[in-house]
Amino acid sequence: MPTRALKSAASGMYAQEINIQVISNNIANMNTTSFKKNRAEFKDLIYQEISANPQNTVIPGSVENSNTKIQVGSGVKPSSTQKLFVQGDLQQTGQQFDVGINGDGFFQVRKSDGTFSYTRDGSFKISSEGSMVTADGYVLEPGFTLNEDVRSISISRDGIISSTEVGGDTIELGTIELAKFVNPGGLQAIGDNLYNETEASGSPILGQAGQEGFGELNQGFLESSNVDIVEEMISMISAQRSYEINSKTVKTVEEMMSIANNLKR
Amino acid sequence: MIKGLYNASKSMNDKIHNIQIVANNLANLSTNGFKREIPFAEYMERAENEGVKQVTDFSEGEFLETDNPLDFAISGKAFFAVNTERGIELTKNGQFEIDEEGYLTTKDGNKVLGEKGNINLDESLLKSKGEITVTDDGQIKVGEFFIDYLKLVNVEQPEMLERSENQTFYYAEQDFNNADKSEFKIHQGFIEGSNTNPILEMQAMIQLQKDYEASQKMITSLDGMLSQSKEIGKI
Repeated sequence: MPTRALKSAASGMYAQEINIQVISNNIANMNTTSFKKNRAEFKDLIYQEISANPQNTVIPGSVENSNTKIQVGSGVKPSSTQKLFVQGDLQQTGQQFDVGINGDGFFQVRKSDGTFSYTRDGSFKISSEGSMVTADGYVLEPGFTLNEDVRSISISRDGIISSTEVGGDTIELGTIELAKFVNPGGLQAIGDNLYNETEASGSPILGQAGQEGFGELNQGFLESSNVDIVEEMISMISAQRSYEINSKTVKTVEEMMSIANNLKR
Repeated sequence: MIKGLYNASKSMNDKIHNIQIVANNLANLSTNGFKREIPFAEYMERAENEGVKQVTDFSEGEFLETDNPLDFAISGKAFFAVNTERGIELTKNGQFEIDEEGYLTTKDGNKVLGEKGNINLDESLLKSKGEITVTDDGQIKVGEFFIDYLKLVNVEQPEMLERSENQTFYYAEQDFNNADKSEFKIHQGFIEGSNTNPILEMQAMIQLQKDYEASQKMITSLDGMLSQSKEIGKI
């Protein structure tokens, strides 16, 4: 019977272990451009009705009174991790192809298999074909193509890209569109700073930067990770203490079992 | 003397149940919207005498900011109402999602109730690029479109609530009152943490262990007395 308490405590220790794994990943990504921190989430497990007085139930012919039943829970289970899309600090880099988003929204990029992914990492490069690509070579969509005469480009706060040609002419090349999600917390992180849409996140809503709640673009800036080291240290301390307190439960139950064992000399 | 033995062993059994409750409370230290159960040492006697079924501590847990538009925390007495297979279940865990048909659901996929029924956001999300906002009194809007009020209910006898997994509570009688709008406040972008207080649980744990030990001592000494009594007739 005390094994249920042991299992509950063990599930609590396991849950805190997962918690520490999530926190350590956050800390490891402190310097990752546009990284969004994660939070582990848990749910309680089934409640079982047990008889408060087991000695009554073994008396033949006795009627069970439901009021003597109590519900005992059986511990905790990690259920999901949630990404927190709080804005990270914008840091100036001075690179003309670095774009930071100040506010809501993601850049839409096309992967080599034709599907779309979303990112807030605006450290773009120019590919050999003249299109704007991420550091991993994924193409910004809807994008634009630069020809060889371009001397510099400028990106306005609302996403309009214009280029200055060798001759001094200014040409408007296109607009960077941002994608927004109803529930960004539901996006699936696939590594490389990329996210995929899921049922939980909803379909992307495309729109122009700086309008209808979309964030503004900042050329020459990159968004840094939103991990706050102080907060993570506090989470780490509280996770460690929770682990410890659950191990105390294990110890107490173990001692109680040994007390029970000493009933019979 | 035999009766004393039984009493002491029953007391040991009660302590085991209580330590299970404490273990569950502590395991759920990081579970959002979790409500601890009160592991009173005298709790079992109360359950038998007055028919009190469950003693759950419904005090508020800490609020944590997540910035997620679909996370809600309630300050005040109300519960969210959720449509499940069993009927309406109640929860304080306001971490919701939107499913593929556009319904607002819990993480388990159960639909969240509004005052007009299930809450569907699909149409208004297509029509408007706006954000989902929820006001203090539970009014949901997508951009400029009014959708519904979240159904928030009050339970007069929270001690009658049965616990169910995933931080929900079930009430067989199913007669809920809509909560008075002045009694609660919804905080969007926040979630409520567990209300387990480690100090109270440690205190209960120590007390339970000591009581358990005392009962064991009682049994051993009664056992000793019994064995002495059979010596009485001997010369």
